[in-house]
Amino acid sequence: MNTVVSSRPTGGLGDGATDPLLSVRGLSKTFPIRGGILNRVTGSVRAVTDVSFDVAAGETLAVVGESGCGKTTTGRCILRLIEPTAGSVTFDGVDLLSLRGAALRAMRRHIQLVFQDPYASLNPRMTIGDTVKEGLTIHKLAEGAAADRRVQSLMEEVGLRREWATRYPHEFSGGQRQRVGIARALAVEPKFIVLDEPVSALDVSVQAQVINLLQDLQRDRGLTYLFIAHDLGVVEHLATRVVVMYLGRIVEMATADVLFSEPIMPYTQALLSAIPLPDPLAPRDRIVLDGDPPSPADPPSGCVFHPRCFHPDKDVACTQVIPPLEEKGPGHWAACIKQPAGTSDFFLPAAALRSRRTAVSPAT
Amino acid sequence: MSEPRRYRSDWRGAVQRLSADPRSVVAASVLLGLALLVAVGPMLAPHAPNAQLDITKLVHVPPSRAHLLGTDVYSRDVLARVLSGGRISLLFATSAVLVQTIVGTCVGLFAGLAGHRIDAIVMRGVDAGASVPRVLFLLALLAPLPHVPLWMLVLTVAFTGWFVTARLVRGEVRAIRTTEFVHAAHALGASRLRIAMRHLLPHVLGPVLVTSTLAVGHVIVLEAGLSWLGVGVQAPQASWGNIIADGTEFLSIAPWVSLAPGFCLVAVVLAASAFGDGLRDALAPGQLART
Repeated sequence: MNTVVSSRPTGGLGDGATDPLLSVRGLSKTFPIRGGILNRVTGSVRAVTDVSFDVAAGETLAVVGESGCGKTTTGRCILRLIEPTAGSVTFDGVDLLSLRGAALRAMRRHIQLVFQDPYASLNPRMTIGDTVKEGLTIHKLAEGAAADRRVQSLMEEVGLRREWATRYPHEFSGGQRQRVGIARALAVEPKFIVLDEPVSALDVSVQAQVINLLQDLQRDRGLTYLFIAHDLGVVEHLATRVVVMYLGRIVEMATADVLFSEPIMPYTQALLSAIPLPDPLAPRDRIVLDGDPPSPADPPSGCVFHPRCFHPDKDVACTQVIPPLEEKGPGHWAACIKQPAGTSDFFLPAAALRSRRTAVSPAT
Repeated sequence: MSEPRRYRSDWRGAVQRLSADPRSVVAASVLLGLALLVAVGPMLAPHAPNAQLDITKLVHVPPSRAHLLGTDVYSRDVLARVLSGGRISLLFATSAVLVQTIVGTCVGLFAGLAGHRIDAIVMRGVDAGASVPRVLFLLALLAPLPHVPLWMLVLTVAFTGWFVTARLVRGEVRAIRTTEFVHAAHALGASRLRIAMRHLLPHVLGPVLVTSTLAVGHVIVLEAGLSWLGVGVQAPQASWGNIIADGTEFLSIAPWVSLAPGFCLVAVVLAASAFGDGLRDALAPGQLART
């Protein structure tokens, strides 16, 4: 198996400026496929394969990719809600994967999660005040009237009225519920928040409000975000750096500016060309990929993207060599053997991308 | 509104919703009324429940002023027996159901939260237990014993009755433990016990209470069957079950003997299940779809 990235001596996968707050190396997760009357393991799904990246304190690292590419699994592995099969996760100098029991529960305070679905992620039988308060109780951060005051100030911080604390989740809209989920995460004063598609389930108008709230909170509290998304418009607005995943692997990683203006990977280019434009008359050349993403239970040999790749130099080597994630330009990593390092000559500076750049409208 | 205040717990909210639901209020009144009646009634009854008043003249006297519910084949006052038997039946049923509900909920929670293997072992045991007909099971347990005290009868009945609750709770827990709000609690650092008590138990409690209220009626009837088979509440001590069973022999000539306790039984079963339904709705705000 390729270990090019994970065998790299130190760092390099972050923004390079500071020691990373979170460092992920060689993270893999394989889910067994069970079948038959004896529930035997008959195969496996490689949800995440050899994923490595760093997140610097205060930045927003976006992880993008289509459904099933492993971005949510990556987030859940960092949170230890799913146990990774291999790899390491270091947070603030602590090896998260070695923690057990009470030490793990105590550490959870520092890394929180905001869910995609604002309906399933709140206990319908708890008032939202109790939901927000739970973390305070678990970590003994406040009790009694002090805890209630804390809950009220958190609710106001996320834009909810304090007297709503006694209400139940079903009395709120999706956007309001998402604010409750954010307040719940903030209650334990985390440094790092995994945002698992926090606005995908919301109306576009509400998306902008929640995005702005997340940005305000990041500024006021110095939070670090891992922002999992498939909406690239939102990502461009919010992210410092972007990781692109395909079929469980990182295929490209760069700062948001570079990734959106000079994407190297054919997959990234196709992804960018698919961003909807608000102007129906704007000229655009969409890159439409052939076929569907292959099954992660039976991934293609070599480069996992080769069956759908439209790179002009694609050849038989692409079906045999697993492309390592290499630094092609400063801070710009990509996994493609056909793209020489150090090049500024991107093979497809397509009209598709130009038209997209001119018409882009940040979600505000 | 603006100063800090204690947040109303879910249960207090449930009580408020419950008292606003006329069906639940009526059901609760019926249950409380009957409970009160059997609690104080025997003290006010004009006759002792086991006294044979006049075995030659007062056999099968229809309801009259002297005997409001008539007399039975041994000239005993039916009203006194129904009141005294109600005490035994209600106490017996509620305590047996309480025990079987607690045991079933604990086993179900444990199996639902355990890993695949432990869950499979426990639940196959539950399936085996549930597959034996309950009366047969009880006969096998009770028949060899010469004299069974009432508390042991209660425990034995409970021991054969917790399987359904365990299966129900286990299924609910399996379904809920993968929902995002449970993941969120997990991510907050909640312990397994806390997740079980705060997030899983409140969700299974509704269906558990509904099955339990239905089980109360079932256990009263079951006890009647056991009495008839000679292993239940022993004569001359009355229970609703054995009064009905004794009366069925003379249904054509003295229907009042079986009818009075039968009516009480129906009232308890209906009220208990109506109350259970109301409780379920009150416990699930926002999920008021009735089934």
